[in-house]
Amino acid sequence: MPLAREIIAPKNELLNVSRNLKLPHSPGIRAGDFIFLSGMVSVDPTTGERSLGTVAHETRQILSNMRHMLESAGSSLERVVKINVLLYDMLEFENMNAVYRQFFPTDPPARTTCGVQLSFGLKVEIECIALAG
Amino acid sequence: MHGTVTSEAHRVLQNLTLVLKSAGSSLSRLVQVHAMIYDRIEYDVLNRVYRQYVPDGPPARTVWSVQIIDGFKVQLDAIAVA
Repeated sequence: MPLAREIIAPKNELLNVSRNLKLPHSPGIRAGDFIFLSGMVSVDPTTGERSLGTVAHETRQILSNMRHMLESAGSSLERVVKINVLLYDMLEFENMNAVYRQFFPTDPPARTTCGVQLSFGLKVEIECIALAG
Repeated sequence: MHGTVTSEAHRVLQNLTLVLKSAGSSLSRLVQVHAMIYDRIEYDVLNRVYRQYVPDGPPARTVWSVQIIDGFKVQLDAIAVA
């Protein structure tokens, strides 16, 4: 019996960046008991526009949108098992962490943080794998 | 086989097609892809090739602009359902 594969989308359509910008990926995919989200950047949920700012600001916006994305699919931040954080500069690691801790106060998921090039002057991108429902 | 982002992406995605097929899966069963490119400036170049391979309802994806070993310009890792 093959695993079910289903596309995940945020209830707030302004946050469906890949569809709005016609990019070749889905916001997320549910495969069996797991949800895989695409990398998310900071987007204002009231306008759908990119919301550039400090690492703290972008981290907060992304994790808030990620919570919405997961809850749209019947999951939640508490059910995240793995997170990859992409930062434009590892010198800002602690600035990201300070906000990150507020979203994962206890038993946080496994995580890897990498310093990479990001587009459009963005400073943070975050993707995750979560347990479904 | 080294080349441009376009030629490397074609090669990688063709090989991925073969690997998935031999394991009884396919590109339409992809769940998550990490697409690594050597320079963010080639993002649209990668997408142009990528679109030709992934189906409607494409997998979740994150593009990582990173240094890739041995002078390659493109590297993919992928998770698919069987």
